[in-house]
Amino acid sequence: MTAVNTAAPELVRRRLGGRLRGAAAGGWLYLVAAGLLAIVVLVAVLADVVAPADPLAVSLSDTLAPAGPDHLLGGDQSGRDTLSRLLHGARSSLLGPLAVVVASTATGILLGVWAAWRGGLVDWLVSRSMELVFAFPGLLLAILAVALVGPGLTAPVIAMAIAYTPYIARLVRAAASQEAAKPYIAAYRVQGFSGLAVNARHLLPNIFPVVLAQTTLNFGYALMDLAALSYLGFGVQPPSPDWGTMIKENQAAMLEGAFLPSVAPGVCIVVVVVAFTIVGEGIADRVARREAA
Amino acid sequence: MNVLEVDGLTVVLPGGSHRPLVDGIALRIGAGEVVGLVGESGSGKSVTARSALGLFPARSRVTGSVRVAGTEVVGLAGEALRRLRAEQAAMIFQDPRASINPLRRVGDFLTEAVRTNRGWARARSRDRVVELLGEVGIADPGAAMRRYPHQFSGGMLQRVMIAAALAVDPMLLLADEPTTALDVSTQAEIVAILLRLQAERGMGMLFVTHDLELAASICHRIAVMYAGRIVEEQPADRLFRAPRHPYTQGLLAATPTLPSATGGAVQASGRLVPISGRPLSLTDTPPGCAFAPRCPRAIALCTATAPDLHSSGAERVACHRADESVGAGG
Amino acid sequence: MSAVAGVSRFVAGRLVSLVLTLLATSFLVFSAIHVAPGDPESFLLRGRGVSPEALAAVRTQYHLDEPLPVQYWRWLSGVLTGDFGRSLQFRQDVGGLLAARLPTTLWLVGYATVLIVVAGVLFGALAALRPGPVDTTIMVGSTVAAATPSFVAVIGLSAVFAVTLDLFPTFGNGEGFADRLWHLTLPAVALALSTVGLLARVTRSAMLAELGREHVEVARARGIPPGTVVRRHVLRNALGPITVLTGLIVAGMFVLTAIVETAFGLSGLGSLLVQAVTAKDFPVVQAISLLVVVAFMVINLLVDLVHPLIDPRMGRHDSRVLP
Ligand SMILES: Nc1ncnc2c1ncn2[C@@H]1O[C@H](COP(=O)(O)OP(=O)(O)OP(=O)(O)O)[C@@H](O)[C@H]1O
Ligand code: SF4
Ligand SMILES: [Mg+2]
Repeated sequence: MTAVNTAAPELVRRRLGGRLRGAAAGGWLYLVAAGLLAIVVLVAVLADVVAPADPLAVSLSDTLAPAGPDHLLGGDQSGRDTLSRLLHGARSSLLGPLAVVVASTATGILLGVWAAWRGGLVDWLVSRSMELVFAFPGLLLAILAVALVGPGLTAPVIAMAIAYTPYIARLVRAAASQEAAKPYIAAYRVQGFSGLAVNARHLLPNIFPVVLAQTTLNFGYALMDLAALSYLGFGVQPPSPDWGTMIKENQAAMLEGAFLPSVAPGVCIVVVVVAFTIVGEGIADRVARREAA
Repeated sequence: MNVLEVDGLTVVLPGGSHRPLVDGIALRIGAGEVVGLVGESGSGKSVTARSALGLFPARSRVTGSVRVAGTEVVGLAGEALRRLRAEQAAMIFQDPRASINPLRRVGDFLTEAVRTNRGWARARSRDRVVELLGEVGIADPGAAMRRYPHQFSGGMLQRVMIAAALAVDPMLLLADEPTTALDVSTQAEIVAILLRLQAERGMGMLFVTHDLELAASICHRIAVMYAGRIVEEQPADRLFRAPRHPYTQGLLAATPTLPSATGGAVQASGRLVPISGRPLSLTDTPPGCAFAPRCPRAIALCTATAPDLHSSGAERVACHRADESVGAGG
Repeated sequence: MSAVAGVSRFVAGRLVSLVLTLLATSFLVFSAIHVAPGDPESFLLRGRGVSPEALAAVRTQYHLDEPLPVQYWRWLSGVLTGDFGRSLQFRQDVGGLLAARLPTTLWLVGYATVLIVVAGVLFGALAALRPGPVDTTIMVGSTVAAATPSFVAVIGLSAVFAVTLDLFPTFGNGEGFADRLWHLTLPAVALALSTVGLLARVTRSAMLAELGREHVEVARARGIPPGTVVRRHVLRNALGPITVLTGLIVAGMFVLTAIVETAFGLSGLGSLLVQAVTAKDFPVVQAISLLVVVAFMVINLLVDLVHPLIDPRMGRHDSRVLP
């Protein structure tokens, strides 16, 4: 008697198969996502060159113009070229989150390594303060900052850098205490190397990939939060182009059937965040595989 | 009637670069009979035992026949397979702690099968389980049923496993290394409980173990596996006195103590010491005898052609030089 | 006996740490006025007539003449009795304002939570149990959903369901239960979308991990029907991560109502927060921030307390006292 067994697959195999398939798909998707992000960054840098029109040039005759040769993505509420505003808008939409992740990652690494290395009271203080910050969602801290300082990107970026720091600090603290417990670190310490030198030279390179994965994911979250802030009117101020601001400005036009001016920036946000997610998870997968090997 | 009849069972993983996990297995277990399945890690004991429940590796290609109480298992699926698992055969696994859902009460685990498969009421399944827990030697069964697995020792959990297996009154009990994860004193108790309940109920039992000595002391017959094949099968006392396959001889040479032939006192020590050399990996597909690289008696023929399993009377052996080894000439 | 003592000690410990964290966070929220540029009273009166009477009124209301700890203590005792001060914008007690707005926000969050749990667990389970195209589709969908902030979801949802199909209202709170649900449907979906993706992913991986466990295979080997195995062993055991994430999601959702309520013209706490920030009405901002933080911590506490019920191994006590 012969039968190919089609009953519920056993998981040992499925996970293996899934992992292999995932690695292949991940490698391919990862490159596409990374390439896409590179293009978006390039566009943001070269916005002046690649944009077909002045993003601020108002032309009442082009108000809510449909997509066409003059305006590839149509005109907005004030007759400005949607495509040009999108390309220029990439700048503030990326610069804000960039500042957030650079600041939060740097602070997080410092606090995490410090807490892990010194232990005791320092560790306790850092951990408790991180718990406190955790209780404030990033968006709330940003809104509070606007309430205190007024609209604009600076205060929310600082507030969100604070809100994102615990995610990095927690990660680094855990990784660094694990790493610090390894014999080679003790060996260095015995040889009289200073704590800081050992940290910098051996610990950081080892925990860097994990931190990079979290930072990349954070970039996507920060982009969403800051765009939301602009959407609420608290972030980038009109008439400056910004993806969040554009959605707010053109939302009312949807009732007149003009979807492009608000949907296009929405699509940009989703695509860029998806790309950051894929790259971040790709890095995390690589780290996991390296550790498993 | 035989409760288990395996014929020519071959299980091949998809992909094709591997030798079969098990190859041409033939095995019989009668009602009330205890058959041992012995061999090194990776020799295919578990694959063979699990085949009786239709638990084959995913997408594997299965040929041959496995009949449990007359029902063909190969190709069985869906409701029919479920009924077979629910009514005819039950299995006890190596690690009881991994086998029982850690988040549910032990009582849930014990009554689950009769309640879902037989539709028994809560009170009736409870009474049944309390009785079984008493039989496997758990004091205060009522309290035990309200507890969670992490509140039990490994030995106690294996008793729970046994009680759960017996709750459905199976004709065939598959015990896959039921004592390997336990400490020595507990091992003997568990084996004694298993043997007592098997004899009382007249079940057929397949006892899988690394431990040839343990197998010899409790089984009626023993089959020895090597690299996915059965290489020798004899009544337990004969196998112990006069092993015919060089692999079995090697195993016995490594465990010199003789067991009590009656099987009353169980010696759980004297685990199987590996023979020199490495077991055959799944990707090695030699044309000749799989044991040849480690066999002290290998000859040229051995590496060229694989020996067939020859039966004579109650014994079966797969070795080109089996007849010489007992000095019968040939 | 000691088991009961163990449970009460566990609960008491959690409560004490909750109170300590609440004290610290409320102090941060309170002292924000001192962090703002300029002196507190002119910060509080930004854009309003700075008459000597107004200045004096603010100084009394905030006890600005007293040392900081006393200020905080007075403010806190007020808050604890429901006195959040007066709104500068509405010239009305903040407590009353909040009470009027709270129901809409609670409905919205509750509705979105139901959507998230039902859809997230359903899709996650489906993905875990149907490897192949179904799994891939759900994974792609949840990745995109998780990357869709609520205000982008608002755009997409209005475009399809409100403008093109004219199925749902895009504005206002609604009256009565059915109408309210009707009006809250699009906002709740917008609020839920990104976290449905998150919960689906976590459900999927928790269930896959459980499906690979030996006890699940043992259950199958015992002839337990497949649906029962999934319910009683796979899904049941995946509840831990699902509950923890749901708690985090709900806790974080209150601040997101600011976006959704503003976009759909709902008058809840979130839109009130946005109005208050725009109108520089700091007492209201302060009160809502405090509520958001308290909600966050209380929900996390609840999750911590519920977790031992889900996983009996977690409790630091004998599980005999559990139901
Ligand atoms: N589901 C599976 N997928 C792939 N390979 C498998 C699967 N199950 C078993 N194998 C392989 O089949 C071979 C035989 O395995 P089996 O579990 O039957 O050995 P065993 O004799 O029971 O060993 P042990 O004493 O370690 O339990 C091993 O090489 C194992 O890796
Ligand atoms: S056939 Fe040859 S190699 Fe194989 S066991 Fe017998 S003697 Fe050894
Ligand atoms: Mg095995």
